[in-house]
Amino acid sequence: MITDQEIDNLYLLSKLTLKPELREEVKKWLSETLDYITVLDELDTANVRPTTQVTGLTNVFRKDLPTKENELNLSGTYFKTSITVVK
Amino acid sequence: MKNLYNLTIEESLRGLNAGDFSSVELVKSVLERIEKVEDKVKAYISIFKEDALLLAKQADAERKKGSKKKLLGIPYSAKDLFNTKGYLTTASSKVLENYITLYESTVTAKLKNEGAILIGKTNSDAFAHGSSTENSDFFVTKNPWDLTRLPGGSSGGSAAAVTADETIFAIGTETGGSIRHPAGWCGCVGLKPTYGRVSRFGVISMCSSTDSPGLLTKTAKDAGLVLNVIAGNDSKDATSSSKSVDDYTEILLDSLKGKVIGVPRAFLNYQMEEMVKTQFLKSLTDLRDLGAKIVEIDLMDPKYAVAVYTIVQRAEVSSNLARYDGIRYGNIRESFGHEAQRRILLGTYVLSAGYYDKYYQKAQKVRSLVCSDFDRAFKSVDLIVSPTSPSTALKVGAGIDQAMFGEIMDAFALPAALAGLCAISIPCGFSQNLPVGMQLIGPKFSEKLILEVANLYEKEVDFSRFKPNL
Repeated sequence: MITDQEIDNLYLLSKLTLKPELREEVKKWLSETLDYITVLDELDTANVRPTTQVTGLTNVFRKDLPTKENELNLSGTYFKTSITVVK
Repeated sequence: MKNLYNLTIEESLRGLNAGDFSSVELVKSVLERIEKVEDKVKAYISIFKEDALLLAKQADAERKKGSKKKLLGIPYSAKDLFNTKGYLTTASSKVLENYITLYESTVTAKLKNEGAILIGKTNSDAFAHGSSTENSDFFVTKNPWDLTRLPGGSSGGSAAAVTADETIFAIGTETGGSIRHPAGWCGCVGLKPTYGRVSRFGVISMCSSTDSPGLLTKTAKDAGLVLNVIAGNDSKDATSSSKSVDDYTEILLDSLKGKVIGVPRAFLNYQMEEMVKTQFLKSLTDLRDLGAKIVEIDLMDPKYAVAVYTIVQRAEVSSNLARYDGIRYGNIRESFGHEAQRRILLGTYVLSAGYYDKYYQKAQKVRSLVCSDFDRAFKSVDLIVSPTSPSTALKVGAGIDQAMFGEIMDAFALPAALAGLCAISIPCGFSQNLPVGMQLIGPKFSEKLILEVANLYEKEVDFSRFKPNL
């Protein structure tokens, strides 16, 4: 079962606010979910490499030049943009 | 006599090109249909009546000048996870409830360039967290087949809109069943393309390594028409594929003779509604009648994919939702709904020091096993089929406060999602007047094959002719 300290630390890391009345409920579902995922321990993965992405792509670069779309928005060496701060 | 809003994309294009009706009339018909049934279905967060009619007028003018745009004048809806410049994009969340986006997603830009008309943004589970659309921070969309039931999720609004004829087609996103599952529950066609086939640029991120923008349509033929437009490489999405885009409407097969279709034993043995299994087994007979050889195959038990997805998805969610700081845009993090908070918490937990190896890295390793499991299976079969979901549409309220609800509903969809494969859900029957969906899973970039099979099946057993009574 998750401890109170772990819950507090978790909320700090997640930048979320825990409502005190929900503490026990959170402990419960978190523990339930963690119990479920232990099913993965049934599988032997000692010699298996982790998969981080399924595309097989690496080093997808482009030339450091403005795209056509961005060229339209250039004004000298500045970008034109819409007003973001309204009085 | 069909109303204009009942039409498919194919029928609409035929009628528009023949001059039987105008795009303005088509869009008006759909908007009137929305006015008539939307109070019951509640598929939409925003509707752009004036802009849509304006674009329809433009489309009619362009058509007269001979424009060859592929979806000219066809109204469509977009899940509110697609950034559509100048319009509200909320992700169905209170965090973004007032967010007017400053940029356009590649998918909606492509559709606009080919003349499609965005008529509104559809409801979903907030930030796509869920399989029921109950986790929307705004309201619950209803299943047009039974308004006391859920449409599935997270693209529930899109699926319901297509089924209720509140749009001609819709786009959605799938991370782990979020297109296929609601398509199955609502009885429409839902295509999840191969990961990287369609650009993720401008789609609000959920689980970046599985997010796949896709489509929901009334027929399999329509699915090909939309995929032709939205598929393709995008320099703004470094994970998008450079593979050339096929013509997904070209049907070369006239039978399934020579095709081997695998049915995973582990899926058949997974807990599911009896009638779902019955309808699914019946559809295997239909596939056999079309000439296919059906064989039982070994695939990993879906429970492993469920656990992997639970960890990996929530880990990536915790990272992707970190950007909502409530400082630069959007409301404060306290605005997150319960489900979003739960996912952020679990994701943070499995990534945190001391737990990373035990949970996250273990899940990534098992993900490798899931991927190689499919690679092995596809050496002996061309396609894999299974029911789309283990049940038909459940009652509103079924998913509330059940930690693993979404994952269990998506059990059949998750393995293919983790492996980045393409899959389509097509209606294959009914159980007590509720649609049952069947999914066809193909190897990466085999959208052409799964669409051809879906088209053939649809010709044989056309469920698109059945409509809910609204």
